[in-house]
Amino acid sequence: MTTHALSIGSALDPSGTGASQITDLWWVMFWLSLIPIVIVGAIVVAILLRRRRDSPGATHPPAETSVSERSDRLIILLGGVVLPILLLIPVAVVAVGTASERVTADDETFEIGVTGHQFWWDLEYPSPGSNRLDDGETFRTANEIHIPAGRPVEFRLESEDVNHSLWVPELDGKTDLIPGRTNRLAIQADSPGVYQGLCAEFCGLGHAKMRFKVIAHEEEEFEEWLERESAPADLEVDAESLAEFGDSCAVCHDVRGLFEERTFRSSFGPDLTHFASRRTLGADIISNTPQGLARWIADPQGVKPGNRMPHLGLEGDELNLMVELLGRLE
Amino acid sequence: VNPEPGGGSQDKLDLSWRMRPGVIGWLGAVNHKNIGMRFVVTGLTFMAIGGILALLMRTQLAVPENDFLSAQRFNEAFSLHGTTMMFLFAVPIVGGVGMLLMPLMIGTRDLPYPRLNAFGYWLYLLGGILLYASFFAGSVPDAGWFAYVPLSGPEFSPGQGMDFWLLGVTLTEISAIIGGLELMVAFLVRRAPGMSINRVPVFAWSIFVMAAMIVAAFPSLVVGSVMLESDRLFGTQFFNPDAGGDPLLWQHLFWFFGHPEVYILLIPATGIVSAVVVTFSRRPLAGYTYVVASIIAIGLISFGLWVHHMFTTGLALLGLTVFAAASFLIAIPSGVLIFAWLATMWKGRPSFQTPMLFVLGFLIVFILGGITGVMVAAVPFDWQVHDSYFIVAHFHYVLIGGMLFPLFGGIYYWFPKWSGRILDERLGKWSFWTMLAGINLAFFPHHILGLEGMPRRVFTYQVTDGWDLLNMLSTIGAFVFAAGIALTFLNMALWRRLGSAAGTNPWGAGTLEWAAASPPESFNFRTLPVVAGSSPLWEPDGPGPAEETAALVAELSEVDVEAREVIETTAIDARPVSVAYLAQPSLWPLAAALTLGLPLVGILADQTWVVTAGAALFALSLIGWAGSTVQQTAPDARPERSLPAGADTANRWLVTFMLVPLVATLGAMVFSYLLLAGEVPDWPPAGTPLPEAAVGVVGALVAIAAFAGNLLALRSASEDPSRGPDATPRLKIVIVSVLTAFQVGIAAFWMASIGASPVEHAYGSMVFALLTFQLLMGLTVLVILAVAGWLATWGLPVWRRQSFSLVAMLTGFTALSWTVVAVLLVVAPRLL
Repeated sequence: MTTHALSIGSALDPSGTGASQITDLWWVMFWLSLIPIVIVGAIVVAILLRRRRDSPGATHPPAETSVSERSDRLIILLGGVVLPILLLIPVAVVAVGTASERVTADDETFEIGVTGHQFWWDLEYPSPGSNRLDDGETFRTANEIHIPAGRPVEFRLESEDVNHSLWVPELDGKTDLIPGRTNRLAIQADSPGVYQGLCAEFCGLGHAKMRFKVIAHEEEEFEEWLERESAPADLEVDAESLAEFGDSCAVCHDVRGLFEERTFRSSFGPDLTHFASRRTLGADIISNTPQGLARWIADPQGVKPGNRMPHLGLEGDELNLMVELLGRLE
Repeated sequence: VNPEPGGGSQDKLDLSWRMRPGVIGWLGAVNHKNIGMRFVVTGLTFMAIGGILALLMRTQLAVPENDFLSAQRFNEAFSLHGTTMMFLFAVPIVGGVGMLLMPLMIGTRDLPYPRLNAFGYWLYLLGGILLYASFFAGSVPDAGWFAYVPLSGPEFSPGQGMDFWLLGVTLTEISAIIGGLELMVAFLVRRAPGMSINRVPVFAWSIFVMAAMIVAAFPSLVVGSVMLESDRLFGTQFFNPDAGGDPLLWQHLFWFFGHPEVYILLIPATGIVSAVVVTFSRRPLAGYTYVVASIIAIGLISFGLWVHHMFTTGLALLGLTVFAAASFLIAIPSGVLIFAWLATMWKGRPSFQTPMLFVLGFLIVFILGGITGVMVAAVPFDWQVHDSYFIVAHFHYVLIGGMLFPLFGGIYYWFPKWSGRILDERLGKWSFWTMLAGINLAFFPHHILGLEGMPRRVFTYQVTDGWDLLNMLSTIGAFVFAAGIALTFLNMALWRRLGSAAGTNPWGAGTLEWAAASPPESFNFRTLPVVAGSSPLWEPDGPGPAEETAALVAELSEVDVEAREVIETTAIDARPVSVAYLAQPSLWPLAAALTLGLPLVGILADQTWVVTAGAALFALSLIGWAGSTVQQTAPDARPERSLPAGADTANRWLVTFMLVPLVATLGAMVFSYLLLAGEVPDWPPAGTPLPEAAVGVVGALVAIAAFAGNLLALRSASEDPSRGPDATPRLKIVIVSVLTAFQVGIAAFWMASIGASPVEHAYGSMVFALLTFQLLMGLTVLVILAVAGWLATWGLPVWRRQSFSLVAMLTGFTALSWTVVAVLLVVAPRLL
């Protein structure tokens, strides 16, 4: 199978502010956890060394039948109360510190709407010139979250159907997308790059194949992307092909600038306005190549079980036309 | 100690206690040893099934992009694996071990309500069969053992799989609650004379705490399950966010059950570990009081942790911090337990036979699981690893280390008691080391996989993810672990060939179960033991009868006793107060369980007449059951004894403990109402009239009056408890019945007139749920009064104190519940 080259990044090899803080917390906890392991381990070894080696038949009642020894209580209090408290205090302090230093957003932070669907991510951006979704025009795209590097962005997390959870291990912890609620997650990528994300909450048949990318840009590059992505589709095509395209794809997918007059315009599936500029398809499952796309259209369930893309029955020239047109939606 | 049977195996004492012959006898068995063993064997069978499901999953995940299982089959496998291990293996088996051992360990002959116990087993078996029957209906549950809505709701799981899940799981929960009540009462009032509360073995304490937790925690999931099934079946809107419901409500209800659940499994394990450590260290437990206090503390704290499963749901950080702190706190009592065992072993110089090896394995594995538990309680760290394989590693270390290892240690430790033979030591050691290697190879890599970004519940992953090696190791480990378990199964299968003769007390242990024969006789102890210390068999004089109880014990040890007699003792200092008579074997519990299953089958088959017929047959079974029990324990069936006959203390405790699940049920519903009312902006939805205060006040007053009437009836009945049915305070009973019927009518009237639909908005669903609960409570009281009245016409002595105290408890609870519900319905919409 053709797959994209990137693997899911490690939470312990962070590229985001939040993930870095959590990595620090992890290492504090990791080193502290060795203390009780070593202490209990040493005691267990000592007990094993001085164990009784007599035959299992020694069933006589023990000499002492009631003990109320001070040393028993001392061991219990030192090991069972004092030791945990001494270990828990630094963990609690660092954990509270990590939580309170979390990346935060304010009214000026760039806001991106992420809506979870079985099994893909619908994205909504403010149009160039504004930072917030409520401030004016917005536009939609899907499955590849472009963000500026070096400053916080805020995800507005909602779900269209069941629970999902947005997780980019290299950047920050996860937050759930729950129907009927709006959750928020402020996230900051410290440097430009491509980061792998996935759905972490079981959401049904296609859960394992519900992924996405976060692409962090330099400021200028991000503004350019925003400009390009917000523009309507630019597709020179004869009317007959366009109608066929509309009948096949636009029933469920938006292509901004085309089919404006068609009443069946729908946002049931991912926005395809600039489909060809995406690296992958199927919510980051296979590479966005003509071959991959043809396979996807011809057999969506084979590539990704459970997804909502219907089997269109397109073959031969029809299929090639769709692949060609979609490939031109730069 | 006199473990020897007094007059051969065919004496009347044995005849009166043993299982009846033939298939009918087997089906009608009620003895705690039969029922407990059935729980254990059925539980182990389900463990094997759950384990096979796990191996299927590990096979699928061994290599990336594998197609051994389809996504659908994989989702079914992990849903059934979790459900089976939690509901059909772990809870029933710890309950079963408690049922097997508790009576022996506290020196009595059976649990206080043997028929209820049998009923609980049949419900459990039925629940398990129902769950797996989904295979034949072609729709297997596939929404996980946590069954989060909306995925498990009517829209996204339209097949019947979830209905099988909800009904099957609910049956096993009711079974667990019944067993819990039983074990609590046994612990308090059936201990051997002299076994004061500070001499009770830690194992018995742990079973008591476990039982109390089951009784308090499980109703929350029962409420959630009924609400979800109602959403699926009748179209109510409890969890639908488009109509005032909230998917997070399910998570609260599920984890309010689900978190204590983990400790419900861990706590009996601490009891097993304590028993094994003491016996093999040949020394009483260090810090008994600290250990018991810690077990109770863990039980209490575990009810304050449920939100730590919801750290990523977007709840406010301040609230999360409180739950994180509570989660940290549990490390302290856990630490106390671990160091108490270490101190006992250090001072006692133990020998390390197989049971002790499993304890050692428990310490190692459980400490690792506990440490990662503290880590995931640190909120920011949980944001990273929540729902990743790190969590899979964490809870398998906790559950396998904290529950399965002690369980296997317990099997090796107590097997001789049930078979008369010690399991093969060499095979046991092989099994232990294989399991220890297996669990670490299978689950240690999961920590790393989680940190590397592998999420839970994925049926496959990609070649490029770089997770291949660790997954392959984990799969190999899973098979190694399974082989280790298989060795113990083999050891048990070959017990006759490989096992060595055990005798009564092969380990030289100090607790009472080791004074009974191996295997124990039907009546456990011919001479009922009297206890003089915390390790009765280690006391210099043994557990022989003390002078003041000698006569009583002698009476109850006679060979020609034809009743099932046990001594009832006081809760704190275990002074004998009465001789209780237990019911004989009966087919009624099986009939009741089967007829309770019928309506559920009717729901699944969508056949209303089956539901109705099943419900009617169930009611008939209960009447038959009640009648035959009352008849058997009637005074003229009892020999003369130096103590009064009766089980008043046990009945009083049972009735009191029954309040716990009732209050928990009401609490879960009130919590649900308040959570939704606080979250939903239009509560009640626009255009809905506010509930009339007058109706609520009248309903509450009538319920309170019914309670008062019952208290009066109770008083006249207890003035002379020996009066026959002729002395029944008929007028007062009629008054209570009329008031209760009136109260039922008000609940029905309020539902009809409240102006909200149960299927349009969660507000209406919630109002109907609360009022239906009131209606059901009232109907229950009416049915009990009617049945008791009918039985009285047969001349059966049912108008005694305990019938009234049951009805008094129910009417008292209904009065409380009416008041709470009326205030909630009337006041909440006006304030919010």
